[in-house]
Amino acid sequence: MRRSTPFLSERLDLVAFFAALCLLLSTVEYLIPKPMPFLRLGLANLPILLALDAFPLPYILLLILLKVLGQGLVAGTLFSYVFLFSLAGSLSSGLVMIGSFRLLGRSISLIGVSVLGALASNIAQLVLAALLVFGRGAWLMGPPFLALGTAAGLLVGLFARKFAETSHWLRLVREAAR
Amino acid sequence: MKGGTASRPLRLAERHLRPEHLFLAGLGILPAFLFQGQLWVRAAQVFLFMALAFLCGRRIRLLPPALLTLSIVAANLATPYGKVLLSVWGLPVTLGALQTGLLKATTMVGLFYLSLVTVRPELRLPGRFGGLLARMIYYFELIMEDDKRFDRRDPFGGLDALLIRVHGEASKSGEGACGSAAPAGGRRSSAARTTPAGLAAMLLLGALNWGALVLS
Repeated sequence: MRRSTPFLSERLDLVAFFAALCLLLSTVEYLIPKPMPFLRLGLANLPILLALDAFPLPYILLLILLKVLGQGLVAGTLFSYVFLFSLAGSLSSGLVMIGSFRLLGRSISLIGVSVLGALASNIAQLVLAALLVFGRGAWLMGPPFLALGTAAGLLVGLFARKFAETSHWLRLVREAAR
Repeated sequence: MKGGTASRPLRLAERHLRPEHLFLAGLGILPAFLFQGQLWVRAAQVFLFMALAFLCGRRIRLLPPALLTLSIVAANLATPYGKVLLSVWGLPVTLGALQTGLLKATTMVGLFYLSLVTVRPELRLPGRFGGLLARMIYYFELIMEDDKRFDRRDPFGGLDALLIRVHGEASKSGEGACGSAAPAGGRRSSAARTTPAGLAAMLLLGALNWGALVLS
């Protein structure tokens, strides 16, 4: 792939493309019916999972920040509490996914990383809900919320693994990012 | 939804507004749109943004936003709450779910068209992060503009094909995610400065949207 822009480095430009993919998947997820409010599949985490072995740490953190800001703009939640929950969930899951991927290396699959990320996101959002909205009652939601979050993380992880195995685009991107 | 970037006879925003000013106008209007709780006002704003997108040379297609609205409303009706308005095949159509669905749908469609109007490929915000943010929105627009059908029978292959297509097209036109001489966009020439007519149009647009919010 070709030379980088004078303005954005090639790698930063790729981060912007990954963030746009987050927005696309977030839009797709917005259309999927939810049996419970606040329940999310977390499809927009897919590009972050794929970025784990393509970008260095600061770029992944930047991607997470762009994802949250972009989702807030596209879903119209930038000025609502949903944005706060999204920020808490995305940052915590992102940090856990980066940590588990870096520390556990080959002994953990993308599915495991995704499940850990989903758990971290749900725990952060439960804490925030308990602190800001529901009080102690939030913990009653804990078990089903975490169980559903684990299932969602598993699904996204399976999707990420399959996509990573088959995608020609990702192979090209990884080569360009290195 | 297609927000075409091909040549169009009408490009009023391009001729009268600097992309940075247009983007700032969009940011200024955004809260007035998002905080608008009256559904009919929100719908009017959506039509206004669609009309502006047309005046800015974007291609407007009615079917995709209509389908998007229908699907969002239908999805929300699956979670009934509030007063039951009627039953369709034994399924209750509730007021709360209907209003939520319509609000979500108008938010989605309205933001899309507002973005089409106010976010231009030539946009350059100050600093690296500003450029990166604009770049992300620009790529998102490109992906959303892709009008070739997504193969639902093969979601992995379909997504891969979509990304290769969009990425490839951007690269060919010198705006690729993997390299370009153009900074944040730059496919088209743009007004070097905002004209008085452009400024007046921006102020009028802001006054309309904020006025509607204050009055409602």
